[in-house]
Amino acid sequence: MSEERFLRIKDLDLRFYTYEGVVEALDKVNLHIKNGETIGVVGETGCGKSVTGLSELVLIPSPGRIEGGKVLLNRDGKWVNLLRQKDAFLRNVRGNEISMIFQDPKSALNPVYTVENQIGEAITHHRMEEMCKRVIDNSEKAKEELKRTDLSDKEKAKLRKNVLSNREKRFLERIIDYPEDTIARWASRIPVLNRFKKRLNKEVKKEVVRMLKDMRIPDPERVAEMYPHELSGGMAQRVVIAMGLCCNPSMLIADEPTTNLDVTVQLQILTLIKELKKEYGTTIQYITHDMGVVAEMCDRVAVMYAGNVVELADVFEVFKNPLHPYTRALLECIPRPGAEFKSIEGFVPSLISPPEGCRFNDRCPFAMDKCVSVKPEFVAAKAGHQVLCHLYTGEAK
Amino acid sequence: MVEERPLGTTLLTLLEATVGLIEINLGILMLLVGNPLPTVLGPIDAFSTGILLVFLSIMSLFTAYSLWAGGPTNWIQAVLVLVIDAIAKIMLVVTYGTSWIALAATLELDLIALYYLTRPSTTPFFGGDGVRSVLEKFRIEMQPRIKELRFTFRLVRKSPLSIVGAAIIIFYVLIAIFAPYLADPTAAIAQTGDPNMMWKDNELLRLSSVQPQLPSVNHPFGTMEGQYDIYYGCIWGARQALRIGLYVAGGSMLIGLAIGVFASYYGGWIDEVLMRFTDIIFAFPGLILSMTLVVILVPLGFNRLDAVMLSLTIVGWPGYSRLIRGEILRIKNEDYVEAAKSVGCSDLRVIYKHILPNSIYPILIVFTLDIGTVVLGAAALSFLGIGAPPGYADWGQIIALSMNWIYGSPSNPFGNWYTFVIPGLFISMFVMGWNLLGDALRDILDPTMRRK
Amino acid sequence: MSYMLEVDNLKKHFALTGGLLRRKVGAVKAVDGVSISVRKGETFGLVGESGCGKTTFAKTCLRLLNPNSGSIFLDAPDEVKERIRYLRSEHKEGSELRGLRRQWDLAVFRGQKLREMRRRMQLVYQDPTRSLNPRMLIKDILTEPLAVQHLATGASAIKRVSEILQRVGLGDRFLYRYPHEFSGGQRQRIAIARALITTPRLVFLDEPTSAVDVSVRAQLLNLFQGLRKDFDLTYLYISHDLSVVECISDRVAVMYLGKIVELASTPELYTRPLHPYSVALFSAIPIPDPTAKRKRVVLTGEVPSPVNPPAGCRFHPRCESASQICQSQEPQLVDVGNGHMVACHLFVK
Repeated sequence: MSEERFLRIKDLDLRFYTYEGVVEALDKVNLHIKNGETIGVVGETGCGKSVTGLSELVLIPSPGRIEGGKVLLNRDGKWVNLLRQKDAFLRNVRGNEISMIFQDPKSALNPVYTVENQIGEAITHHRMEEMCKRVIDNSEKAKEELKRTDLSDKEKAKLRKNVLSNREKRFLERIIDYPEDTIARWASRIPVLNRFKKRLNKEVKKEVVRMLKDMRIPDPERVAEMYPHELSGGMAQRVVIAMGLCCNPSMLIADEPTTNLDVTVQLQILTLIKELKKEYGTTIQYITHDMGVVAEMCDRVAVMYAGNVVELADVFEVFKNPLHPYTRALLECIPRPGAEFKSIEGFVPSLISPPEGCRFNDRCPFAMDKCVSVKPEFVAAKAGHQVLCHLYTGEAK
Repeated sequence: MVEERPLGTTLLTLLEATVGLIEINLGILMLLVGNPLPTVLGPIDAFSTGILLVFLSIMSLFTAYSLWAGGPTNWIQAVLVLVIDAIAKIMLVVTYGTSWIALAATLELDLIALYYLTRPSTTPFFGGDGVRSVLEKFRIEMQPRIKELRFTFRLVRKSPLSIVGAAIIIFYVLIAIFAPYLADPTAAIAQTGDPNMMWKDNELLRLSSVQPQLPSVNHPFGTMEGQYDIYYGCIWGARQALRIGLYVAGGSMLIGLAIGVFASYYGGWIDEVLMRFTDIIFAFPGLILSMTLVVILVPLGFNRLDAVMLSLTIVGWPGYSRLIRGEILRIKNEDYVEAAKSVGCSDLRVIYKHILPNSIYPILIVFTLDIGTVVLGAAALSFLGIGAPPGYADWGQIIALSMNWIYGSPSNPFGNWYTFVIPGLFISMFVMGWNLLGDALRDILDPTMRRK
Repeated sequence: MSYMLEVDNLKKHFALTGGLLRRKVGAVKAVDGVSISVRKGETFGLVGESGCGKTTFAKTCLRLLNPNSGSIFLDAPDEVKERIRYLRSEHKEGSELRGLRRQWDLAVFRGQKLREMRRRMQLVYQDPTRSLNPRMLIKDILTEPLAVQHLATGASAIKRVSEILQRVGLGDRFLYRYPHEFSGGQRQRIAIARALITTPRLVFLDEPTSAVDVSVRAQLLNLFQGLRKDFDLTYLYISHDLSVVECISDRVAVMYLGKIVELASTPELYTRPLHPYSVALFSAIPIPDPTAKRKRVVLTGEVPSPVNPPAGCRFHPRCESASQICQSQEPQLVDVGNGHMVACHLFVK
């Protein structure tokens, strides 16, 4: 984990224009994610943690609109504002550089396609060149092997399977040179002409099986040919993670991936994610409402409430020394045996007409007069520990 | 606490009041019978009477409900008032004919009852729970439902197509109600005694025999073979269309619902057996099956139009069964249905209060679309000669009569366009109106789209 | 010690049909011989993962599903229970047994007795959005149990509904609204109000807090404790959230694949879990403290399907301490002291 920043969200404003009114889903959200770290985004329902993740991929569903701010991605030292990029650029980023996995694995998978088809689709879209090159290399190697004289007939037949005809080879080379080529694209859709894809598909399938093995799925060849409804919850989630990681993205956004799973399966998946992080070194943004999972998995934590990031700090800091009153209340809510259950009084404010000042002021035990009318600034109360609260703006900087 | 008065006393009080009101009304009528008051709108026929009676029955229902909302013992009283009200109406209408005055008198009855109900209630009869009047209570009860309705209407307003559809339908309904004023039935009654049979222009018959005539002042849409007035046919045909549409679609919906609900709720072999019936009917092409049924039913003594309606109903109900079956199978396993069972609801109550309200919406949408389809089917049967008797004011019948004249003379092939284009337009507009309404309903009532 | 709810060897199998003639080819043994005893006034926790049968068990006890075999006794006199058990064990399936069961055994109740029983046992569902009819007013949802059970109608029913709503922390303005106008926590309170309006003695809570937020969860849990005192209730709390169960239950049972594998008082079970599955289960709870040391037992594989449970001890394919006997013989629940019951060969002396 380095200090270098990978992604920055600056003053992001997101609004949903609904029948009932304008929902101010995100209000000047500030977040930065460092290279190689696992950052947890915690909050309750409706606080905006999921849409923050979606904003990073610019995948906000209508009637939502990003009204202000920037989503800056660090590309080789230069910052690129993803909100201003064209669709083609974004499609390249999604899945390739930033990948997202969702809460319900069963609904993230298309029920009419096999596992192999779905992961294969991601691989085909982003790593087509690599796959073509591999097929061509295999063909060359097979041709070399066939020159040997000491092969049995069976071995010769097997090798010949890998050898490409000239036409097929030209197709593949064309795809490598001109990825957008219309002829290649159309040819791949016409039944007789797409025979050149046979070996390509085999290669993709090999890659899929390799990914499934990486996910510690037993018997990956068999699982690759299964349909999503035949998979159990944990298995399906692993497949979804495989889909997310198959193109080796720099960052993975995980939106509550274990909330729907049993606790022992959750442990399996969390362990898997930790191991994969060690192998691949991916930056992970883990969105959840479970403080326990956050304590397990994350290096830094961003606490969100009603569309604001209210606290952003190192995980040990947040649990030992929570500064924002909401974080404190949230930690106190965790049920402890023998003690009375503590809850937070009041309700989350409606985001259609949010309070003028700090959005937590009607439930905050430390609320001052200022809190009702003036919005607090997101400042660093200490090094590496930022808070959105009037209690700390005095001693800031 | 609702004060439990002795049932007898309450009954007597109510009876007295109602009988008193009837006496007053009868008295007024007796006075007027001898001196008939010329009414503004002239005579109204049975069809419109039907509609108005429906309206008045709804008012009686409201009366009954208001009484009912008071407490458990009042249902007897409510039934009594309802029955007396209905008897009074029927008596008046039957005795004094379809006279506007008679209907006005029964309306007065309801208005008086309404007045009594909306007065601040001082009697413990309606429960002394602080509500000012029964109407107030009714209003409070209806408030959230009205809010929902308002939301629906807002969505309706936003969709212009639905307004167009609704406008078209209202247009047709108005034509049907005011048919006697739009197309004078005196000539038809003089010729056949039944205003629903088109009248022939005998003069033109002598002049040009059966050749259809172009639109003229006497015949705004022209005439067809046999010199039947097309305008008359189209206007009065609207009545037939609405009648056939509503009765057939309504009938097949009710039958289909009953069978479908029963089959899918209980499942098992009941489901299997009943679904086989639907399969049998599905196996036949609809029009051919209905043709066969009409041919079977007419010799059995049904008059032709009734036979058409019955056969279309028989052909139509399986569609609704299948539809409701799908919905019920989905809803049967929902948590709230199970929760209702866990408090001890009987099967009937679960179906009526929990499953049906949640599953009825696709049915309503199909119902509106079906009305159009049914009318088309009836028109097809009439065109084939199996439907309405010749000369009947039915759109399909008009087109049937124009069969020989579709291709005019070689020099003027479309000379007789008015014989089939105009009735055809009426049919297509009618079907389109229902289709638009149905589409709009679907968009509005689809629960996933509602709360966008 | 008198028990309020006693369940004897309850079994619920779902038949699987297949083939041309829809023959029975197998059964999903969702609940396969579960016996529990719940004391009056206690909160009995039932934990397990998805597919272990805890929800099916609750629904079978409530007769929303019909049991294949077994008995359920609610407030039955001890002598009756003894007699029935004796007759059963002696295989004297005569008219005496039948008569007694018709009178006291909830598993065979029908008609009026069944309806009456529903007054005494109620269920609060997990997801309040799905357990409240979206097209019914709150007032109708809440007066329905009273109407169906012939307890109150009209104005007196409304009064009772208002009282209950007050008790669960909601006001009168909630009466003439639809469920979708409220938040998740409020809806769950309405569901609780519906369960309590017939003044039951036993309330099954099926994961009542899993569909709500953390801050609302505590409010609901406090509400449960308060209502228990006020209404003199007994709870059967079903959940897969082990940390919540720890805080609210007096005794806890762990279920796996349709059977109870361990049963003990809460402090005992959470500090000294014995069954290997319980150990793995409790070690998997994420601890909200980044500095805490964790000793994790990561289970391999997935929960096997209840259609073909493994022979012998159902947990043996995933168990680290499995031995020869575990593959062939199913262990019985035995008391290892202090009311702590385990079903594992490791603890059979």
